[in-house]
Amino acid sequence: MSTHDHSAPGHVHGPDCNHDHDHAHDAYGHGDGHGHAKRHPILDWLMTTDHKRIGIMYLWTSFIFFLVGGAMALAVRVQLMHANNNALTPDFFNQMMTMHASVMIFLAIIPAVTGFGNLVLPLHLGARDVAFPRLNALGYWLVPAAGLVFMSSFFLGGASANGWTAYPPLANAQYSPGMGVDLWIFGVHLVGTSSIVGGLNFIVTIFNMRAPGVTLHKMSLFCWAWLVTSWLQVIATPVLAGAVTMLLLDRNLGTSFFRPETGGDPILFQHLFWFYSHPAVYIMILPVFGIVSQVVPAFSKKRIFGYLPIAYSSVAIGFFGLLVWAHHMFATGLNPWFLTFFMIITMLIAVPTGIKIFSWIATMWGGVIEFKTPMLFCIGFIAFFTIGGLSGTMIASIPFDIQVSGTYFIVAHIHYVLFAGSSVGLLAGFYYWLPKMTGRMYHEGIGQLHFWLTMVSMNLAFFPMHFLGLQGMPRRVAYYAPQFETINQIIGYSAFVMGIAQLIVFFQIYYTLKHGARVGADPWNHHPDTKTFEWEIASPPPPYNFETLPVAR
Amino acid sequence: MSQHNNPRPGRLAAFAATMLAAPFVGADAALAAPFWYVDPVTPYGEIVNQTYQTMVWIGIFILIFVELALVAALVKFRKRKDEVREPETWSHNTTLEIVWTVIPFIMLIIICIPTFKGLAYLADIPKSPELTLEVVGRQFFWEYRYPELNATFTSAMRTEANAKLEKGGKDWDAIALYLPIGRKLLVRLTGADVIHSWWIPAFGLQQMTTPGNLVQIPLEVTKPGDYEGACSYLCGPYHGAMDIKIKAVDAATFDGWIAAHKAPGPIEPIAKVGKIGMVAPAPVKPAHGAAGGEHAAVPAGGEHAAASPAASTAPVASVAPAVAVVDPKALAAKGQEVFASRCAGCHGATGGGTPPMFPPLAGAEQVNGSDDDLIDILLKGKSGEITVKGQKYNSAMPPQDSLSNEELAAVSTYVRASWGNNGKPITPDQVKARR
Amino acid sequence: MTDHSHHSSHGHTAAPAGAGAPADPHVLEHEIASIFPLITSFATALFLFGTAATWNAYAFGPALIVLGMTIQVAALIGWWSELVRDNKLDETTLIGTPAEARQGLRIGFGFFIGSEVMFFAAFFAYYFYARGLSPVWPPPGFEKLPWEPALINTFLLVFSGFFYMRGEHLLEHGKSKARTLFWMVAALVFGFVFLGIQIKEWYELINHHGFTVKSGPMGTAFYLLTGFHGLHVIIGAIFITVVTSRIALNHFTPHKHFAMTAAGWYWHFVDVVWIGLVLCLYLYDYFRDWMFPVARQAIGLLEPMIAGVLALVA
Repeated sequence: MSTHDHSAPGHVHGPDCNHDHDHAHDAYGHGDGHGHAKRHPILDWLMTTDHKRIGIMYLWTSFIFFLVGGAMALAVRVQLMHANNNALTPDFFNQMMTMHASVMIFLAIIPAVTGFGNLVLPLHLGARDVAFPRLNALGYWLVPAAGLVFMSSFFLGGASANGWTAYPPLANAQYSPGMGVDLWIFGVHLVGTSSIVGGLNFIVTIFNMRAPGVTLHKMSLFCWAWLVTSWLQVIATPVLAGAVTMLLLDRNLGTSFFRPETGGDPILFQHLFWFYSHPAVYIMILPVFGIVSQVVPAFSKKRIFGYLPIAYSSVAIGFFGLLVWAHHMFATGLNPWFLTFFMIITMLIAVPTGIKIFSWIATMWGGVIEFKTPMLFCIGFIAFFTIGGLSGTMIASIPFDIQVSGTYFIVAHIHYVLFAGSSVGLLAGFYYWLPKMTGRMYHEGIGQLHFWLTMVSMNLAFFPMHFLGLQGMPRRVAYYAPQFETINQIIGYSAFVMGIAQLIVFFQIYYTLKHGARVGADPWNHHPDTKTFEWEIASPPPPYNFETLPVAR
Repeated sequence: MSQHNNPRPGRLAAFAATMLAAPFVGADAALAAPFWYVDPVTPYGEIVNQTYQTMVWIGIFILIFVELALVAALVKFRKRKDEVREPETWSHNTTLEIVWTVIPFIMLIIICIPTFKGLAYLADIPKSPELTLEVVGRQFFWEYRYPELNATFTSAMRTEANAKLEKGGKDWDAIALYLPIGRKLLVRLTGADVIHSWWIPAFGLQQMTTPGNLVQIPLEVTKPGDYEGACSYLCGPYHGAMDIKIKAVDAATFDGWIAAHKAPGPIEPIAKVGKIGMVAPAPVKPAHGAAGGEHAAVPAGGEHAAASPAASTAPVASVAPAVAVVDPKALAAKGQEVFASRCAGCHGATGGGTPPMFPPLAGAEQVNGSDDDLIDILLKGKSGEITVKGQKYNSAMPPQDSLSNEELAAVSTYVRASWGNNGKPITPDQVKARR
Repeated sequence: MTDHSHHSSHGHTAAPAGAGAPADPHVLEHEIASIFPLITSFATALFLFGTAATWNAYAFGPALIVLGMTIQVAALIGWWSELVRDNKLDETTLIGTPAEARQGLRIGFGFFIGSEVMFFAAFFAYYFYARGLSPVWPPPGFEKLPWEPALINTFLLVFSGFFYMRGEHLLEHGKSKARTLFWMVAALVFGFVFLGIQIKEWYELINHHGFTVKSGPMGTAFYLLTGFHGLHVIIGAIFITVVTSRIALNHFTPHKHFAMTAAGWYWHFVDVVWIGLVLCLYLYDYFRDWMFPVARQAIGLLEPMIAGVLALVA
């Protein structure tokens, strides 16, 4: 690697870097280690175990699935443009609705947060790679494999049409015959394995691979967020695997787990499903909290406010998150006093979440705030994720939840959490680390346009859903009462604007790689108090990250 | 370093204003109800409304506080053009941290007050209710029963025609369930096939109906009126068309309606509360010899007839009246009941269907054609494209194999003898042979 | 809370060059590249897809299962050979020194077993849920599961675990390879006999008692728990076979044999799950008839004693 020249930035490594071929490959200088013959560049990517390349592959895969899932959402909105519309058959509508959620959760948001984890976590810890590089590659490749399994169902008699929750008896063979649900279950198995493998890898990386002086209380808040997330992945995901396995056996081997006619109980599925799927929400949001905790101080030029409270509030959220699953089952008809336990724990989660929100604002207070695109997305995150957090506290209250359960109020809540929260935070991370990934600067003006289009269309699309739910429109319906038509049309048009606005990401990547100004190690001019290790090394970093292991002050 | 200047204060103000106002634009004008919430018409609905109002005000207060603090921080500490200013270096403040931990706690406690009132109401199931209403969710309609009054009623799926009906009109009334006002009802709910959810927003009430589980909730409607609701748990393709229409009326009107909806025979209450499905089937082989058990109704007292394997087949399927007759006339009479509870929702009370979704049975080639084909449709369901009386349909009918051979024979015989159809009767043995 | 104002944490800076561990250029060049993760992923997907196709009566299903499994096995053999090769080189790589890497494996394998525990927790949850809500358990007509195979199997697994520990002990103390191998093979043989008895029990229950997965919640719980446990025994046995061959090939030293430790942990985990399974599925139904009366009587005897002690203290 003696040919390496860190001082000359411009080593580009993006999958579409063909135009910049030479740069892409001297950054990695393959063909040298252990005297391997020089490999084809594509094979280089297929065989890579470099955490940064795997991170980039995760991000590409998740963004493509984000667009696929978005297209499915738009199909749903087309059907809902009129009260009793026949644009889609109701069965195809249900497939679109189901796969929109499944793709967004399993193939877009979770792989995207894992992508940033891969890209950044070892750099923040001062490590040269993750603990198990091959296992890391396995975790990545399982995602496109799962994507193929999910998508193949469209060509073999139709995808699952039971909602991403796949409650039996509707998901049982009697009511959902065909291959769709079986393929859905196997897809979940594959992404679940990916999630467990990724979680294990990050736990060991954090516990075992911190550079000298990086104690647990000194590592970045992004690492803290991932520490909690990976515990959740390892603890909760196997239970989902167990639940869907039981569903699979009920469908194909005639067991009686969830089939009431043979002595099973559909409600058990709900317990097991939500034991994973509530923590899954935190798997999707905690790493994003981590991103925000890096970006806000970086652009406020001020040290994060309340480091330890933010770190331990993640721990509290993770711990409580494992104990609240039955709050998704308030309308199922369980004993109200039994449910009270889950209600109280759910409400308690508002406290650590509030601590984070307030601490971020306090970080800005007294800083010198620069409004670059990553910061704008973070501000959008804080401003609108709060709405999702507050509606979450409202639906923790059992009587109110029973009223709005299964309605558009819930749809509004999850989209404020997963779009205004996760997706917007992920876009902040994208803009923040794009110069680090490519060695070039993106187009700031278009970035800000992206931000404004996203914010306005997002709120116009999701906020009115609250009213629909309160007024009486159930979710997952292909037909609805005529009085809701106007609001649904506002939502529909805004959704199209929102979807099209996300294509700006393609433009940004193209512009950055082709025309972006070359940047040095630290394009954001971090204040010393906010500077993590990745900003000390070249952009993009060399394959081994650190020639000399860094030491924390 | 930066290629663009920081935003001007004017742009910043626009940013703040848009962020705060965007969600509310136009929405307020579109909806008249206070905070977009429906007017509650039950004592419990009042409590839910109170809970909602408490929370929404606290929520709005917190939201405004957070947004103002955020905007204040952004405006006050933005980097101005050509400004040279050192950022502050502090990074914690114990008092502040205690305040923003404790205040949310207090607000949560405030939220809990109306919440617990609602919980107490829900948990207080009347021991001897004035009247019992039983609700059975089915794909894609509701079966209602007043067991004490011996009355039954089946809801209609939404069609293009009945979606346009005005509340309170004669036709609307005809497809609405009547409820007496001012009486404390016990509602017992279960599902016959998949999970549904019975939701009437004005009652502040929703209950999922899970097969194999029976749930009881108290209900008292205090205000006469016409109320609409919907199934709010995904139950298949026509989930969105599974309407609920309820007319709350005074005692005299209610009695009149009951008289018009008497069931031909006595109604058995569904089953005992709780897990009606958790009956263990016997694993031993010889038990299958006694095959007659398909029409064993689930015992009312919850005595699980565990020894008979048949008792465990679809407990809720046996909600349909037991049939043990073979005479074609009697079969057709029984078939009428089965039809009303299982078929009328989609195929219409007079066999007209609900075009363009569900085909008619009156004059349908499939009804009057081959016996075996008709029985197969009933046993295995039918999905995909199908032409009935020259019109194309493309939807899915679930298999009806949870009905007994007698019930299926009865309903086929009834359909073949009604509305101008002219097929010959079908016997339970024929069904048995195709099963 | 301690004063953390001087934590540089979130904002730690790299120290001046040369302060950290000096880099060996050889380490930086050490590239870990592998095609097997990719192949394993897609082969697994192919296998699962084939399974779904087979269950849905597509003619091409079984072929895909065979193809997927073949590729999967080949890829895993390739992957493991790479690991063995790396292990032999015993050099510092991007992930640290060999000792650091082993420590990572240790933590990682511990968490992996934790995640396996959660997988079984889901199945045990079904068992307790079904049992708790069912009005009659065991179902009428099927009183109790035969205890004899369970008892023999418990002894087999427990002894197999002890044999394994013995083998490990011998290896750690540098005793003769032949003795180590003897105990390892003994552990393995007991594992296979366990599987044999388990298969025989299934066969008899299905063919002579009509007790199948379709026999309601009890049949479902029984075959699910014993089936997934059996699958884990098979995985453990493969793992031990690999470890035993590696002992024969002199891959391990008294201080460097993590694969053996890991296989041991896994084997003991399988053992513990089995004991939990025997207690719940088999023995509980034998003991509950007299356990509860005995417990009640014991409490009845204890009560006056406790009262007496309390009276003395007060």
